[in-house]
Parts: sequence; C-alpha cells; structure tokens
Amino acid sequence: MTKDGLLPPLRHVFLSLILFRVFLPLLATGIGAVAGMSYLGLKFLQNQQQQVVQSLSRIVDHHLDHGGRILDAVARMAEASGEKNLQVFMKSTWEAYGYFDTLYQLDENDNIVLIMPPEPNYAGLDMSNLPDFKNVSNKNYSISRPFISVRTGAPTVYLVRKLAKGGSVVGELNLGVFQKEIDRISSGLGKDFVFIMDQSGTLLAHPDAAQVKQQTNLSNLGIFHSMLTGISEDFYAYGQEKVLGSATRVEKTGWLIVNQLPLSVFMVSYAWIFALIFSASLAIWITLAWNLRKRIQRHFIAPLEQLSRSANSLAMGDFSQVNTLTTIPSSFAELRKLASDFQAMSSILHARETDQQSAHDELEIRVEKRTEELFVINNNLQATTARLQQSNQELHSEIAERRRAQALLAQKVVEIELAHTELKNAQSQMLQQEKMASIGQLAAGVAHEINNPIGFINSNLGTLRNYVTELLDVVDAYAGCHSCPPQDMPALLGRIQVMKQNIDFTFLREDIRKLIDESMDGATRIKRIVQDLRDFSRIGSSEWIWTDLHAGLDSTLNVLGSEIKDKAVVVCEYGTLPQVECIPAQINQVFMNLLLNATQAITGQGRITIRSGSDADEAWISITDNGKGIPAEAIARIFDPFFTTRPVGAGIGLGLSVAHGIVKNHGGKIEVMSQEGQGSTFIIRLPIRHLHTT
Amino acid sequence: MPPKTPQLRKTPSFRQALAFLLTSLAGLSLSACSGKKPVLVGFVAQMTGTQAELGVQERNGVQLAVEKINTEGGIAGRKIELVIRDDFGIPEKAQAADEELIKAGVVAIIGHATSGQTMAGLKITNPAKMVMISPTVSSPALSGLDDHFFRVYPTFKDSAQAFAEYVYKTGGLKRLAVIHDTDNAAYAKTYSTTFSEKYVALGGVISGEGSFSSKARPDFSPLLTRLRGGKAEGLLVIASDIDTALIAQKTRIMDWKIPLFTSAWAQTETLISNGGKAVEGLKLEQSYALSSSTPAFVEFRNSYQSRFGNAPSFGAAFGYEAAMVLAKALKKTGGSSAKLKEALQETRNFQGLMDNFSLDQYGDVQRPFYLSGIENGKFVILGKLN
Repeated sequence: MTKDGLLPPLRHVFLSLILFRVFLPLLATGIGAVAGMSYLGLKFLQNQQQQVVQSLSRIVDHHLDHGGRILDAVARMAEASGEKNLQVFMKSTWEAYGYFDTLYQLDENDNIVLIMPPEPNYAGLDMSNLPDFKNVSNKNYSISRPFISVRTGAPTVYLVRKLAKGGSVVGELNLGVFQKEIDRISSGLGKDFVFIMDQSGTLLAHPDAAQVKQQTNLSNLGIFHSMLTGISEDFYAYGQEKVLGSATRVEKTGWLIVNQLPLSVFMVSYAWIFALIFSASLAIWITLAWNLRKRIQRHFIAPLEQLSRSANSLAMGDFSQVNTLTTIPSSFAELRKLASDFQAMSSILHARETDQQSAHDELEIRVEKRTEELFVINNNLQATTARLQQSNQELHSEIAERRRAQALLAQKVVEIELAHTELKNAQSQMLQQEKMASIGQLAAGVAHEINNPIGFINSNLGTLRNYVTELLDVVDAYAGCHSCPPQDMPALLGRIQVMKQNIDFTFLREDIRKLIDESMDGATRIKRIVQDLRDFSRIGSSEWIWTDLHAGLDSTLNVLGSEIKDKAVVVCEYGTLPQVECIPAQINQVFMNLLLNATQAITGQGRITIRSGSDADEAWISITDNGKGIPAEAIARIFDPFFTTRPVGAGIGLGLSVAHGIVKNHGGKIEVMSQEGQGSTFIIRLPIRHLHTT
Repeated sequence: MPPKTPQLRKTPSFRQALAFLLTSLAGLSLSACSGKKPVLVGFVAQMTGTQAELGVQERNGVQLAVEKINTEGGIAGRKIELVIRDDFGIPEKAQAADEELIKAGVVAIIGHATSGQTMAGLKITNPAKMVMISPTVSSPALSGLDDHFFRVYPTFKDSAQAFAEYVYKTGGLKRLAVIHDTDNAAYAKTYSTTFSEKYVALGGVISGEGSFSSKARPDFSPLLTRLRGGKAEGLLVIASDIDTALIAQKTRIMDWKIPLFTSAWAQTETLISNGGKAVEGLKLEQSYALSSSTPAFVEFRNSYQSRFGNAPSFGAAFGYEAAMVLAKALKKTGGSSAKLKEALQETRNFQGLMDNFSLDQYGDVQRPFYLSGIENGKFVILGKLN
C-alpha cells in the first residue's frame, strides 16, 4: 500500500504516454527533417559560395592578365622606339587604362627613367631593393607581392616586364577594383561575405575596407590553412563567431578568395523551421493532453474513484453505498462489467458476512463454555501439581536415606571381605584335615586287605613246615635203601610203606600243592594292593595325561576293596571309553569320594552299579547306589562345603564339595539324581580333550 | 484492454518528462552563447598612410603575442580579444581612437607607435586611469612621469647623445645638417634638439636645419639643395623609413654623396627596400638586436615569418614584448584593469625577446641602443650606443 504513493496517477501516466509516444516521436522526426534540410542547404550554400568565388577568381585573373597585356604592349613600344615615343605611348596608355596608378621605365640599374604620371620628385629613384624585382624572367611579366600604395592607400602590385635592351617597364596595378567587386557582391546578395587575401594572408579586399588599408593579415583563419594543406575546413572561427566558408586559389599569384557566411545566419532559417515544428508538436501534445484530461477524468478517474470510495465503505462494513454504483457513468463495457462485478461481489460479501456473524456468535458461546471447563481442569491440575511436588520432596529425602544405607553397606562389604579372607584360611585348614581323614580311612582299608592274605599265607606256611618234616623222614628212609644189603630191602620197603600210611602220603601230596597255590595267590593279592595303592596315591602329580578312566576306577575300587565289599556288591557295567585327558590322581579322588559316599548311603547290604560311556567329546561315569537317597530339600546344597548328612564326627562334609571343585576344574560337571529311600545316581561328565584355558 | 501495469511503471513520471522538455528547450536557446567573456585589450597605432609600416608591424607583433597567449590558456582561462584602432598618425584621431577604446571597455591600450600621437592620447587615457603601454615611443619627454603610461622602449636621451658623440668623434664630422619631420615633432624635434645640443657641446657645428611635413609629400630637392649649400659634412635625417629612404635617394640623385645618419624611427625594411643603393653605408641608431640568437627571438622571428609572410621589424618585436608584459600583469590582476598599473610597475627582469628588462615606477625601461649600418641591403650591428 505504501508503494501506491510513489506511483503516478492515471492522468499523468496517460500524459506521459502521449508525450513519449506522440510528442517526442514528432519532435524527433522534425529534428531529423531539419537536419536533413540543413545538410542539403549546406551543400547548396557551398555550391553557391563556390560559384561566387570562382567568378571572382576569374575577375582577378582577368584583371592581372589585362594589366599584363597592356604592360607587354608598353614594353614592345619601349623596345621598338625611342624615349619620346614611349613617353607619349605611356601617357596615352595610362590615361586610357585607369588601373595602372603609375608606369615606370627603369634602366638596367633599376633607376627610374620614365614615370607616368610625371613625378619629378621620383625621377631617378633607385628601385633595385624593392622585393620581387629581381627574379623576373625575360619576356614574361612578373607580379610582386601586394603592398599598400603610399599614394592611393589601395592594395597594389608591381607588374614588371623586362626589356630586351635592358631595364624594364613596371606598372603599379591598382587592386582597388577587387574591393569594388566585393562591395557589389556584398550589397547584391546580402548574404555573401567575400574577401581576398594575398599569398601571406594579408587582405586585398574585404567588406570592411579599413582592414585592407591597415594590412590586416588573416593567415590564422582555418580556411587559409585548409587551402594550404588541402584539408577541407568548411567551418572555422572568424573573430568571435563560427563561419561556414568556401575558397578558391588564384593560380597565378596564390591569392585566396573566400566566401563565408556566419553559421548563426545559416542556422537561423533552420532554427525557425525547427521552432515551428517544435511548437506544432507542442500544440498537438497540449491539445491532446487537454482533451484527454477531461475525458479521462469523466470516463476513467471519476468512476474509478467512486469504485474506490465504495470499496472503502465496503471495507468499513457499510453495504448501503453499493447501490450508488449503478449511477456510475460507465461509457464502456469493461467499466460497467467492473461495476456489476463489484455489486455482485458486494452482495455475496454481505451474505457471507451475515453468516459469519452468526457463526461467530455461536463460537463465542462455545469458547466461553470451553474456557470455564478449562478453568476447572486448570485448578485440578494445580492441585495435582502440588501433590506431585510433595511426593517429589519425599522421594528426595528417601534418596538421601538410601544413600546413607549404601554407605553403610559399603562399610559392611569391607567387613565381609575381611571375614571372607578369614574363612578362606579356615577352609584350607579344614581341607587339610579332611585329607588326613581320607588317608586314615584309606590306610585302615589297606591294612585290612593286606592282613587277610598274610594271615592265611602264614598258617599255610606252618602246615607246610609239618608236611615237609614228615616228607623229609620218608626221604631219609629212601636214602637208607642205597646203603642196605639187598636182603634187608624187603623189610625196609615194608617199613617205608608203613610210614607212608602213617602220614597219609596221598593226601599230603594233594594238600601241599593246594597250600602252595593258595599262598602264591595271597602273595599276588598283596602285590596288587600295593601296586594299586601306589597308583591311587600318585599325590603331587598334577600333570594332564591321557588316562584310561576304567583303570582308575578299578584301582580305586581295589584300594577301597574291603570298605565297599563289607556293605555292597559292586557291579561294573562298563561301556567303551576313550582315553581322557585329565589329572588321574584328582579324578581317582573324585571316584573314591563318590564311592565312599555311595557306600555310606547304604544301610545294611546294598549294591553299587558303575556304568560308563562316551559322546563325541565327553566321557561319563555314573555311580548308582540303592541307599537311603538324598532328601529333595538337601539336593541343592550337597556340593556346598561342610554340608553333611552324616552324624557329627563321621566326616566334615567336604567330600562332594572337593569332587565338585575337581570336576569343575576339569571343565566337566557332576549331576545328581536321587529319590529318598531308593538311592542316588551321581554322573560325572568330563570333556575328552582338556581345554587349556587355565 | 487489460492494463499493462509493469510497462506503465517503466515510463518516466510526468514531472520528469516536463523537466526533460524544459531542459532541452533551455539547451537549444543557450547552446549558442557559451564560454567566458574575453579580456578586451585595445591596440592603437598608425596603420594607414605613408608611415603605416611601423604601426602595422606593431599590430602584427601584438597579434602574434595574443594568439600565443590565447593558445596557452589566456588570462585566467579567458581569451584576450584585441580591439584595433587606427590613429592615422594624427593627434586628434589618436585621441578619438583612445576614447573609442575606453568606451569599448578595454582593460588597457597598447600604443601608440609614435611620440606625437602618444602625447595626445595620454590626455585622454591618464584622466581615465587607463593604462597605456607603448611598444616604440622613445621620447624623453615622457620619462619620469608617475602616470598610467608605460613603455618597453627606451628613451633616446642617452642614445641620441651617444650617437652625436659617435658622429662627431668616430665619424670625424664637424658640420652636420639636420632634417626632421614635423608631423611627429614630439619625437623628431626633441631628438633633433637632444642630438644637436650634445653635438654642439662636443664642438660640432649644425650647418643647417630643415623640417618638413610628411603628409604634404614635399619635394625634398630645394631643402636638400639649401642644406648642401651649408657645406655640411654629414646629414642626419629624423624621419620615418619611407621619408628617410626618399631623402637618401634624393641626395644621391643630386649626386650629393654626403654621409647619412638616421634615428631609430626609420629602422625598418622599408628603409632599405625604398632606399635602394642610396642607403648603402647609412648609419643609424638601432634599438633592435636583429642579429640576436636567443631561442625566444629565433622562435619569434620564425613564427612571425610564417604568420605574416615577411620578416619582423623592430616594431613587431617591441609590439610583441609590450603585449607579453601586459599579459603578465593582467594575469596578476586576473584580467582586471584594477591594480594593473601597480602590477606593471612590479615588472622586474622580464624575459624579453632580445634581453631581460625591468619597468621602473614611472613605467620607463632601460635597454640598449645599437649603432648599425646598412651593408649590401642589410642591417649590420656595429656597436652599442650607451
């Protein structure tokens, strides 16, 4: 809207359109026409000027030629006749031909011999120093530089004609005739400004005659230089004004004839034409402007202004003005269309506004209601916020409390760690105790196992000593046979027979073999026990070696032999097991602990079944007893250290815990299945190949 | 028709259009008269008649100087325009010419060429406080006056006496006849008196005196015959070039081979061209160092020759210098006549064509005179006359 203030009103837009589309093109055309006309005029003028200067040039030429011819006639007379005749001839010539101011006859020294008109003062004067007198060729006359004659005050030249007999005739040719020509030309046409300069630029004829008399030199004019250099200079400065000139050169003398016209004079007629065109264009413009102004006012501006007013009142909400639109004098279709469109728009707007008003009122009510609701909600929200703030405060205090508790806890952890260290020390002591207990048990078993064969070997050896003694007696008898006479032989043999009967030789023979076999068997058993004990108790050996687990089981069973045999039958149902990489001493201890555990679980006579088998990378051994089983609530704790179901003093309860630790150390695990009153099965699972992770 | 609003916006506003119109109108009407007003300087001298040569030469010299000044930028950017008047060698016409020049609004007048016209003209210019600067006036009567008159030409007072001494002593001539032109009595008569007094004081005898009016174009024969009768050993002519030439020719036609002497007034080419062989050996007082070879003088001689088609004489040289001195003073005053007299009085060590010179408070100048003679149709400097 603010930009509208800068926009020109419609009237000015129309006027400037007319100005730029009508007036200026007209003016431009006018200027072009005037320029063309003035160019043609210029050419015409130069042509005319040339005609004038050419005709004047012919007059000058003619004047000089004429003088020359007359001088030639005088010279001929001078050459042909005597001084008397010449004087008469010169006198008559001088009188008849008025342009020679003076005629001289000079002798060979350029002294005046004859002078016409007679001038006694000059008689005999020496003219040898006069310029242009010396370079005169024979037969032809020469023309000196023009000078102002002292006597006439007019520009003059000497015409000099050498005489064959020596000396010369000289005529002072008056050039004032040119001035008369120029005056005639100037007064005749009125426009031409003609003047003649000599070869140096000194005036010979000029409309201002005084300038000629004062020997004014105009060689500084542009046209003088252009005629010298051949460069055409039509326009040049003459005094204070610019002129337009044409010139021609007089061949014989190098004089310059100029015809010039002040540019202002030349331009004035074209200026008038231009002024006429300008004012005509201006008149057309003003008329058009004046006329259109009224029409624009009536047909455009007034309706538009009324429309604008109506739009304004419409904007203010006043719909009453709309009807006045029909009164707009609309003289063309577009404006009438605009008016009717406006009316239609106005009625639509009116209807729309009424609708909008009611909708607006309804909205007002709704908004009020909603505002009230919102007020309530807002109050609730504020209450909630207050509560939240309170709980937030509580939370803050709780957090503080927790922080305090945490600090206490951290302190406790330190204390616990301390206790834990103490406990670890105690545990290692207890482990040692347990180990000593196991060794004790083992030693008892071993002693029992060895005691039995040693007992019967001992008794067999006693029996055998009696048998050997009796046999040795028989042997002695048989030895007497060798030394006795043959007649005593039958007696002796008889006695020997009796003796054999006494000792029951047949039985003896039988029993000795039996006793020796039995004793050897016992010795073998002892040997094996010792061997097994050595195998079992490879204590300190912690090397990982590929081991046959069955052999380990067998040796453990042998070591434990009597301990188990007293209470259970051991059934071995071995599957196929590959060698397993393990620490055999530790694994044997596991077997021992589990077998002892199984044995202890059996009350009365029971059975222990050992099974084995393997998967792709795992070997398993299960030990099943049919003892009292483990209560369900205790199963989770059986591997805990110091957990025991046995009465106090029968063990400190580290067996299973140690076994669990060893198997875990081997990367395996121990599984337990148990049912109270029916027995338990422990399954040891070991990886075949040890993973050297530790 | 749908409105073409964007196009309408492009058209200049109505006000601009009107302004354009008025400007172009004003431009048309004013285009003719532009540029600064010129500084008007008057020139006055005798340029017509028998003694026109000196004035014409002076005018040409002044014109050459003005053209040079104008091509070099003029006076504070303004060109000098010469207003030229002829005094016809007549005192009354000189006064009329000066009045015309003052009326024309000139800031100063260069002129006159001769003492007589100057003496008359000063009666007009001095009361009008109009500066007049003469190129060639040498009359001692104008020396030492605190007025508005200046000159670049020295007074002949000393040189005339020196010339007398030369004629009497070096020339060894004890009897001398003297002729002077009464038309320029202010110069010729005074010169005659100054010379004669000195000559007589030295012991010489003025054997005869004669005078004539140039305008009357007299026959010199009776006068010369009379002087010849006075048994003169030498003849001093104080006249213009053409009259001196004619008198010289006359003596020779009379077969009176008397040594001839003339003042600086006649020191032009006209003396030689019209004197013929009669002026050979003539001795004269010469203010013009015509053989000078200073660059300024050589340049002046060349540009004069190409501008006017002939060689400059002393009148042209002194006219040129007068114009240059005036231009320098005008530059100080900014082209105004106010304080112009003071500015001219301050002219010191001015670089002239032939030598450097200064103007004193009376507007006079001290410059050398030379003794010269005519040999083979040419002036030859023989020595100084101071």
